[in-house]
Amino acid sequence: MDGVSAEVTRIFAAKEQRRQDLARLPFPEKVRAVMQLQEMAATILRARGKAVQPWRIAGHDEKVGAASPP
Amino acid sequence: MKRTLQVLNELERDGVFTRYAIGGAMGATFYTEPLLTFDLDVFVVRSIVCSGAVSAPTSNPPAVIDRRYSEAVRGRGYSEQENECIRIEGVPVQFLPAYNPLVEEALKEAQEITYEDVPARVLRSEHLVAICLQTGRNKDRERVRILREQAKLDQNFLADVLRRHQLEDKWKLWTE
Repeated sequence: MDGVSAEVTRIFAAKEQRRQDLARLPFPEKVRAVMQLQEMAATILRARGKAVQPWRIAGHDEKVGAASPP
Repeated sequence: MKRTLQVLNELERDGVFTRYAIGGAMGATFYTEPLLTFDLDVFVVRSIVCSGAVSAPTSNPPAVIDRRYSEAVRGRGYSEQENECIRIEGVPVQFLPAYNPLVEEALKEAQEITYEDVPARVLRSEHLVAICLQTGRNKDRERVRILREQAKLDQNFLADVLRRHQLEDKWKLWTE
C-alpha cells in the first residue's frame, strides 16, 4: 500500500484476519455478536432520532456450538 | 433465535407457508462476519390457499405481511408489529413471499441447517449474491463484496445462476 507504513500494513492485515476469523464462528455465536452490534448501534441511531429496537431474546438463550458455515 | 425458528417450523408444519428460508443480512451472516441488522428476513413459499397481500411496492421486492401470516402468528400470541415485521420471540421477522423465479429457486435450493438442535434453512450464499445483484441497493453491493471475500462461493454454481437470471452484466459491473 502506497504511503502506508509497515506497522499500519500489519495492523490492516490483522484486522482482515480478525474478520475472516469472525466469519468462521458458529452461527449462534454470530447471532450473539449481531445482538451486541444492535445494542451499540441503537444508542447512536436513537441519538440521531431513529427509533430501532434490539432483539429481545429471553435469557439470550444462544449457546456456542451447533450450526457452522460450510 | 432458537424459539423464533421453532415458531417458523410450526408455521410451516401447519401449512401457513409450504417452505421458508432465512435470507437478507442474517442469511449472509451465516457465511460471513456478523452483519448489523435489526430484522430477520424470512423468504416463504406461500401455501396454495393464500389471502391477498397488503401492499406491494413497485420497484422493490414486496415487503409484505400477508394477512395469512399475520393472523397465524397472532394466533400464537405474537401481536407486536414493527414497520413491516412481526416480532416473534423477541425477533422482528419480515416475511417475504417468493416474488420472482430467482427467489423461488433460492428457496427451493436453500440449505438445511440446525441451530441449537432446531432445524432451519438458509439461502445458499450464491443465491444471496444473485438476489443482492438483482435488488441493487448500495447495501446489496457492500454485501456482495463481503460475500465474495468471506463466503466460499461455488463459482460454477454462481455462474450458472447469474447466467440463467440475466445477472452477468451486473456482476461484471460490480466486481470488475
